Parts: sequence; structure tokens; C-alpha cells
Amino acid sequence: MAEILGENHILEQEFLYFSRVLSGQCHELANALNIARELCGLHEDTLPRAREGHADAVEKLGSLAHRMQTQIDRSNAIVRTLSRFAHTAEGTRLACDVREILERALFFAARQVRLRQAELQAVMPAGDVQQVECNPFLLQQAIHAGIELLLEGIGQSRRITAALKPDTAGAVVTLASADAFECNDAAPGLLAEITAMVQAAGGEVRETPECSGRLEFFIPCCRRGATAANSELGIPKGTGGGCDVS
Amino acid sequence: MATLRVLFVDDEEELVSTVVERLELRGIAATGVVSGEEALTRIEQQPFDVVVLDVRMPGLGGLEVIKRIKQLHPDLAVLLLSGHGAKEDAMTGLRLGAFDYLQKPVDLEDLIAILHRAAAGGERG
Repeated sequence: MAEILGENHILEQEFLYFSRVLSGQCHELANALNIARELCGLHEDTLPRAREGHADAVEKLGSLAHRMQTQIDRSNAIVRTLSRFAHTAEGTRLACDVREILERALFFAARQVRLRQAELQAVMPAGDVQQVECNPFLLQQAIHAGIELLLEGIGQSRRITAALKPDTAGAVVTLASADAFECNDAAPGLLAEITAMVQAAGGEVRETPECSGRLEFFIPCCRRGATAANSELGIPKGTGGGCDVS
Repeated sequence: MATLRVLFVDDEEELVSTVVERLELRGIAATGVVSGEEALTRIEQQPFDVVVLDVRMPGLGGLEVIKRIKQLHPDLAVLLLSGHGAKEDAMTGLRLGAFDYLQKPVDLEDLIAILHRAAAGGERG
């Protein structure tokens, strides 16, 4: 019974994460579309003067087109990222591109970080990172929860860094606040939940002194090779949200 | 008729500058700011007839801003702008003294009509 309750809790948390990502990104998409709509309105407002040959109005139309394009690109990025995210919810461990998983988790967390008036800096390695084997959905959820934990404890610096480092046996994702704090004071129980999420994703939480304001997730490399791992699981090429067979 | 003075507050800078420009083209003296904190400062610096406030913003959100506005300037009309998920917040805003709330996206001509009604202390739409 306890096991069922535990499983239900995990499913509930996964569902909650999924719906939070969805609602946050819907809001971001609505904002971009809203701006595009107003820019179209301003375009209409400007047209009569441009038709009369006013040079400033003609120039304005050009700049408005560029500004609309920016909002369209922003909308496309949201839709593309959400679509890749949706493919990660299959609940299996795959050979994955951990850089893409981290970038996507940070993309989703950006809104929350902005609302909390904090800054999120990503430090990515210049070279390739070997594929890891993990449940990408759970890893994204753990990264998101890690950022939430840091936002709870963050001090005056309002700065969080997310870094990815290749490791001989896999990859390490580090989330760190510029201020040290006691994780369990900031968000009681959340560190234990994050640890469980990372383990369920196929990794482990490393070196997490409770008062450091720092989390380190180790994700092992794919031992069998991406192609073998994914084809064994019957994952077709082009799916998996960053966990494709290449 | 005196020029309508409007303060438009939203954390999306591009939205603020575009709406302000469109309002100005229609003869409204519009000012835009991108945070609740800036809005409160600006209200102390110059007079406005109506403040249009986004409900969800980083830092001071629309509901906190409306509370502070109503404490200091109870007669200043405030319109709330909300996204689809923030309808409950908008209802709270009405209880806090907002003249009305509008759900995004808002048609500019509708917004202007409500701005005039709010400035005149008229009835909600």
C-alpha cells in the first residue's frame, strides 16, 4: 500500500511538473502573440503615412516587420521546445543528449526565475558531451526542482548558475546559488525529493552539503551506445526530445 | 476635452512601448513602465487619470501595486490586465478597488473606451 502511495506521489509530482511547464509556456506564448498583435496594429496605424510617402513612416514599417519577426521566432522557440519536451514523457531511460535536456529545463525555468527577480546563467562546455543514459523527463523535473530550491534560499545576489561538465563516466549538472544556505531550511523536504527524482532518472546526487546552496547531479554515460539502447527500447529515430538515435 | 493621461504597466517592454505609441497616436498622453516599483515612483512624480496594470509581474505584482495605489491615491482609477490563468487574481483586484479588469488580448479601441469611462468615474462595461 505504501508503495502504491509512493508511486502515486511520484506520478502526481510528474503531472504537476508537466502542467506547470505547460501553463508557464502558454503564458509566454500568449505574451509573444499579444505583442505581435499590437505590432500588427501599429503597422496598420503607420501605413497611411507610409502610403503618403513619409520617409520616417516607410522606415518604421521596416522596423516593425523586424520586431514582429522577433516575436514569431520567440513563439516558434516555445512551440519547438514544448514539442521536444512532450516526447520526453514516455517514462523510460534513453540514450540522451544531456546538453539539450539541461537547456530545455533552463528554458522552462526562465519565467519562474524572472518572476522571482533572479538571474540564471548557463555554463555549457565548448566541446561535445557524450550521450548519457537517463529518463529525460525526470532529469528535467529534477533540474527544475533544484532551481526552485535555490530560488527559495537565494540571497541578495539573486544569481543562480547552471553548469554542465563532461565526466569520464558521464556528465555532471551543477546548480549553484551565489549565496550559501541551508537547503532544508529553504524548502523542507525538497532536497530529499530531488535526490529521489535524480535516482529514478538514472543518476545520483553528488556532494550536496546541506548548507552550500549547491546541487550536483551525476548522470552516467550510455554504456551500450545510443543506437543499441534506444533500439532495444523500441524508440524510433526522431523521437525522445533530445534522446534520438543518431 | 482635456487630454487623457494614462500610465501603462507591464513587464513585457515591447508590449509597453507598442501600446504606448498606439495610444499616443490616438491623442492620449501615455507613459509606459515595466515594473510595479517603477509605476509607484512615477505616480508620485506626475499626475495620471488612469493606471493600466498587468496582474502578474516580477517583484511587485499588480495586486500589491493596486493596494498601495489605493492607500495613497484612492481616487486614481486602475484597470487590471490579466492573462487567461489569472482571472481569480483579477477578481481579487476588483475587490481591492480596480475599476475593471480586461483579459488579454485587448482590442485597443475597447481599451480606449474603458479608459475614458474609468477616467470619468463611470460605470463598468
